[in-house]
Amino acid sequence: MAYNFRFHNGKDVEGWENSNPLNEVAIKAIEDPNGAHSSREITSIPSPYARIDLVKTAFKEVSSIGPDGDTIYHKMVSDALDVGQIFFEADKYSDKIEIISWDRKADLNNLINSSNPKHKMLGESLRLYLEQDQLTYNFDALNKFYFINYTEGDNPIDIIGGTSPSTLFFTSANKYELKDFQIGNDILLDDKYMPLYKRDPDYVKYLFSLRENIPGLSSKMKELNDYFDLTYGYLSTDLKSQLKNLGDHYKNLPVLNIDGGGEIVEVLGINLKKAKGKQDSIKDSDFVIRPDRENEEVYPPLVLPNEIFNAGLNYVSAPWDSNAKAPHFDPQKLDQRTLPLDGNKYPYLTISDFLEPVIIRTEFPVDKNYFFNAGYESYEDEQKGFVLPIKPLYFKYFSVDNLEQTINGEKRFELKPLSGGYVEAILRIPIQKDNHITFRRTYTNPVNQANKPEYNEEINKGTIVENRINIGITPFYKFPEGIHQEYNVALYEGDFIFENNRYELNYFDAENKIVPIGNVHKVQRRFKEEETYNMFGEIVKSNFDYIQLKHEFASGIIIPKFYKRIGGTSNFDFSIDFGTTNTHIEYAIDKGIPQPLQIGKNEKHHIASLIAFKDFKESYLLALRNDLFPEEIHSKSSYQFPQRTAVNFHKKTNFSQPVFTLGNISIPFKYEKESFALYSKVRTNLKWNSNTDENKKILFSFFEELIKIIRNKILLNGGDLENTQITWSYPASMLKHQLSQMESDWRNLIHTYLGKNVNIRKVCESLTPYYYYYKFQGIAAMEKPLVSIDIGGGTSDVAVYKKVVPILFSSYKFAGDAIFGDNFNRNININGFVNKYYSKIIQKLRENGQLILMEAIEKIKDSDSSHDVISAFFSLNDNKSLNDNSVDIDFLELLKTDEKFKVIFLLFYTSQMYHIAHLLKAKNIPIPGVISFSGTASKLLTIIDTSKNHDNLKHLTIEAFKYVFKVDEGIDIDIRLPSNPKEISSKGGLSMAGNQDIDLDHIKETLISNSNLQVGAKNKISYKKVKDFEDSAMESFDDFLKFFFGLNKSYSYRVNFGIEKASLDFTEAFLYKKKRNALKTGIQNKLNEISNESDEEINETLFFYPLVGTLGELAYEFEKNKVN
Amino acid sequence: MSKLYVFGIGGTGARVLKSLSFLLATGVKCNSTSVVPILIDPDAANSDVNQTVDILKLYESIRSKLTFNRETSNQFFKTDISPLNPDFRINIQDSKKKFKEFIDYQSLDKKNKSLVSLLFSEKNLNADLEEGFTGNPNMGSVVLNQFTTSKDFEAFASSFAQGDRIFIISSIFGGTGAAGFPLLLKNIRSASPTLNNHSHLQTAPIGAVSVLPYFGVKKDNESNIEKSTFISKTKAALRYYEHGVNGSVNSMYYLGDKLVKDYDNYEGGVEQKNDSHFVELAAALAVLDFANETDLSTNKIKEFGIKNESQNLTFNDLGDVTKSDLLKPLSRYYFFRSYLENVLKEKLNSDFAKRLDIKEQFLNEDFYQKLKKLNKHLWDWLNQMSTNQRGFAPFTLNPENDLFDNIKGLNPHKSTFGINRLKNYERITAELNKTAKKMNTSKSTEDRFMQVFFDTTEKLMVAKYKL
Repeated sequence: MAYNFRFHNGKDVEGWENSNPLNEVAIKAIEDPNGAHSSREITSIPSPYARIDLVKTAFKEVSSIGPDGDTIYHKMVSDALDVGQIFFEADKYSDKIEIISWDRKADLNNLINSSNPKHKMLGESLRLYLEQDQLTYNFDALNKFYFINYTEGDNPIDIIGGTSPSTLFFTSANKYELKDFQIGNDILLDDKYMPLYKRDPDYVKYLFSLRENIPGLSSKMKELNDYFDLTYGYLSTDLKSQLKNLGDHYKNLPVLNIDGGGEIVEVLGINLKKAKGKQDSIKDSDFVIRPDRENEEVYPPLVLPNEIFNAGLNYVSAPWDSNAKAPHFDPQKLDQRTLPLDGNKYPYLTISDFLEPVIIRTEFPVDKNYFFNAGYESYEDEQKGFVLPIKPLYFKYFSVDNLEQTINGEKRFELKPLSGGYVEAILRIPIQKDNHITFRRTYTNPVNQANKPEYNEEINKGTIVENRINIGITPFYKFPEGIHQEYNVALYEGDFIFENNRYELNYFDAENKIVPIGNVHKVQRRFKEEETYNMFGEIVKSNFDYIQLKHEFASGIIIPKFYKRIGGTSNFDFSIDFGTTNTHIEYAIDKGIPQPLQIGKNEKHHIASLIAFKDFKESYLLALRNDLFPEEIHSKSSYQFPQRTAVNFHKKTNFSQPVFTLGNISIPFKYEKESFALYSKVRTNLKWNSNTDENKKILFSFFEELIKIIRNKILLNGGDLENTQITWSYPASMLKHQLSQMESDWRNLIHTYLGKNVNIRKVCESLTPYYYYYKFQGIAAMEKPLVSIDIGGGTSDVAVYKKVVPILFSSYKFAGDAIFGDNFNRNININGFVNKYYSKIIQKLRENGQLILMEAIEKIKDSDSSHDVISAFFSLNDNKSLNDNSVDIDFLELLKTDEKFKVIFLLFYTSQMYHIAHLLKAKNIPIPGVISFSGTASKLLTIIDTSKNHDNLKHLTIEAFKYVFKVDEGIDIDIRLPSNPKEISSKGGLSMAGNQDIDLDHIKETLISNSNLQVGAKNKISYKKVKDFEDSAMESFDDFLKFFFGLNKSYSYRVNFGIEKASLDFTEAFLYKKKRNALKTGIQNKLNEISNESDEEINETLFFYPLVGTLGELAYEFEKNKVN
Repeated sequence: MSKLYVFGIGGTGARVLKSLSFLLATGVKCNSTSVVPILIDPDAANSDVNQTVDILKLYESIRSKLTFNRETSNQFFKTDISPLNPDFRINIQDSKKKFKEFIDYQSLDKKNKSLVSLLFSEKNLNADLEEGFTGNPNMGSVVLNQFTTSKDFEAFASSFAQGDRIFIISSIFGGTGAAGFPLLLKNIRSASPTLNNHSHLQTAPIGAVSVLPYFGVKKDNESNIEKSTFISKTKAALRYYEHGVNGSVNSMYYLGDKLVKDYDNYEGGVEQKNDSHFVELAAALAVLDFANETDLSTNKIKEFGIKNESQNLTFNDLGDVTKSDLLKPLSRYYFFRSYLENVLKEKLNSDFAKRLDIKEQFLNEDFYQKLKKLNKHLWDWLNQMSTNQRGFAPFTLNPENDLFDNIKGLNPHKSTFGINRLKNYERITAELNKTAKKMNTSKSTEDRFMQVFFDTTEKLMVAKYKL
């Protein structure tokens, strides 16, 4: 049988005989014993351009074998397609590749004309084959080669592939391990071969459109063309139909050029194109974030799992590989990021974009009633809390409220305790198709608390830092539209770990925008070097959703659970009685029964503290009650109204700079109950001291805090601000300019905080008690006039009513302070009451272990104000701590049993009745049927009358009227003295109907002396002439002394009041001796007080001056000399 | 006077040239008056190449002592083999470097460096050229190109005359040959105007044999040569040839055989010395076919066939033409050589020796010694071909037999009468004596010696085998 020395079949030959050309058919017929599975690259093409030829052959072979396979041809085809795809996605890889061109003329000539013979020879070879093989490889149409240089390779030049005039693209024979060259699940230039039909449809479309646009491609690149034809059969119906209607697809793709410059990349003169930004298709990824909030981002970021995720969701152009993990951290800015495993430039979010690397642990648990604590329940003995380690970016997409919700049955966010005090944060981020990505980060305890926190976001390692912090917020609700938004936030930090660590709070509003700096005022009230902790008071004039707490080592967020159901339809009426000593507020809902303003246990949203109001002893936690206000204010708590009229601030507060209520100045509710820090200062006596800027600011602050509390009360109890009424009272004796200042303060504050529709009523405090009696005690102004006397700390106001209408009014500074205060240049060291009782009370407190209270009283005494000390004495009766411990210190009771001082109280009362009788007489007003008392100091009257019917007082009153009116019989005056005289004024304010601010000028009378009546409205006597009345005033006082000491004869003071004769005699002698001087001093003081206002009319009787100037000294003498 | 320039590229080229030398020595017909063998191989140590050079030198030396004219009937060494240079080879410089050093890759500009980096793999760039191109002819296409600027190539061009022919021998699956052939071809076809006779070269009749795989190599993972890739490489190269080569040659001879035998795997050097193979002989026949071809007008593709497939070919298995081309020359020379090797020394007293003046001294002279050496090579060649796979064993190479029984497939005429009753060498001696009587005594001893043996063996062919 004949044998032919060849590998293919054909006709038999004998010897050397002509045969058929060894063409493609024949070559194909050569049977390869190894198939095409050679493990090696084919290298037998005897041309420098062998790679171009081999790739061409590979396309031919694969077209014949089929698109899928693992032959060397499939590899070369796959690699060439990879190179094409890298060109196509050049933008995506712009940081990893550069495109280099080689010009057939210029660059080849560089070689051929080189002085280097080796280069010359290389050039000659390259030229030879370009020319000789031009038809085979379309070198005749070759202008340039374009290469992809992998710039992250080991060498400066690492060419991974280039353009080919035969197959569009070809590769080098080198094996590259490229970093981050991946499209879908296809890692480029790897050992898994990817046919065209399985590739990104955009790439397929591009190549097919390129085919249409390269003239003669089907013949010039027959092998490639055949491969395209083959590929087509494998494409999806959808893609096929797209390919049928490519239209201007090629034209619409951006031109591929070198470095964005003018040098385009072409093959056979036709521009290559590049992918349109992939962003638009990536937007369809299942991993696109699914925000709750309106999100306007053109390219919403993806959220990629950093742990095994096998939900089979579509990533970019293929499903997410369940074993793939996105990085925990990406240092690039969001818009500069490239997608992991894919390389497209598109924003995506990592766990580190949402979770902080360091979590802030609080020394004590976070109060979950007020703050979202992510369900953290410590299971260890040591109870701790955490600030949420969430970054603000989270809230760009998700609302604060939803953080507490669940997703797919699991909590969106949780903090879980781990052993060893570690904690795990789990955050679940919603993505498309109702899926979510779970992010977890474990925070470990620091090795050493004093070290800077060590963390590593790249490996998802978090750490804990513990801070001694607390944050208080008031109010604890969101302000409704139209209401001035203003929060007071107090930040406490008592860390001693890191020096000079600066803390900062940032407030984020509902749009997740940081509240601008202009809406936040910050002031420091407490200083670590003084009190071991810092307190920063911040005034935030904007609603906010959450707070970011930040310091140099950590950040975290605090989400307040603000009360939402605020406001309502109830009408709230408030009446504010701003007193010299105490201030009281009464309110009524829908015209109901007045009651003292209280913050009850159930009213949880006036104020909140990050760390619960508990019996923590740490000073940095306790201060919140002082710097803002207590969580409860009511009669059964430690704090209540009436509240001492006082403010508290740091000693070094500079009042020439802005001061902020509840920032660096506040009402000290603990005053008279607890002591204050060394650097803290309490200011009392606000009412009559508003003459300096500092005092004006202080007074304003005091009012401001009250208004804020009132506002909270309304909004938290279903009130309607629009239908709110505020009645504020003023003393009739207040100077006009002071009054107008006060009026402006109130109006500004009320308008600011409650709105301009609030009904504001200004009433003279002397008038209001009557309405209380009128409305609630059934006293009508009958035929006989009714006299209402309001005895406060500083003034006594007298109002006379006839048939519900006030017909006369008068006021004088003869009240509580006249007895206890240090009038006319006296001081606490020579205060009889203080001297007698201070050490006794202190001792009793000490004996009963009331050391805090004791210290508080001691501190008050340090203020050198007898008024304040006496006021403190009186407050002990209502002190919760004493009552809880059954310690009875009732200063009023002590005075009742102290007969030594009784004559003082007798003088105090009798002189008033004497003066009022003269006043009525001067005005031709008949003797009244009722005299009612109100005001704090009214309770002093019980010292001289403990009986229920006030018989003693009644008798003294009748005697005074009889004496003045010179009548003997038929007088009956009913005395009304309630047990809560301070509250009467406010309650009465509420009881007034309509706006009854009567112009007191019309009815105000000042009986300068018994014979000199300052008549209202006309011919006013000014203080310029006050000295003209000295003598007649003295005469009037003398007449009173005559009456007073004469009365003893018919109404024994010893019998009725236990006042010994010696004591009475001493008093009589003392008064006679001191009266003139006291009167003069009184007048002078008044003149000093009005200073430049000497045009001011005389608005106060001179009658009491001798007593004001003597009662204090008298008490001191009684105590000093033990006169009895 | 036409010359045939025969370029033998690489190891295969050398081995085919060796076969060609032997064929020419035996007197196989060659219409060219002169053959100019030119070996091209950068592998200076290649044993195949060196042996061929040796043989060519022996041939040349032997031939130089002989005179051929119209009356010369002797066909042994008839065809002149003349060297282009004394070494029969074109020198390729710097072949001890790495490829990247050879092209001075390092100092290339960025763009050209990029091109080279894409066209040549890292492995190419770092390949040591001392060992050929180890199956990477793409490198060869650059490295070998240096011969175009060599003095030898210029000399070739200068000596080329109209009517001369060029034949190029190469293997398609190796390194040097595969690369050198197209390169040489393209350089000739686009001969630089700076070369003499460049237009003659551009249009010169060119024949070429491309030897496809005919042997394997043993598996060696360390080696760049892997048998399993031979066919795929061949196919790839054939595709290249289809477009890049075939159209440029007048006659393209393709030849290959089943991969029966695995040779030891050497990438080159002194170790690369493979047993001779029938395919090489067939390729040598292609050279002669081209030399003898009268029609050079078209691009012919020629293939080689035989009558019967056998693992041990004899003359009868060959095609008729091949058989007739080879049978007589080889057989004549077979007798010639056998006689010289086994008998001559003892027959110096015989009639023919005396007449030819062949004495002890002749046997010691350079001519005879070289002839003897060449014969030894030729004998080895025959031996190797006979034992190779596939084998070509036309003769029984057992000296014990009657020599006339040693041509396989031929039955010698035997007689009990006259001269033909003599057997074996006696028969030859008798014939030599007979022939010597008629010898022209004016010729040189060497000429007469050759003439006598040629005429004698020729007569024996007729007498014994009716050929």
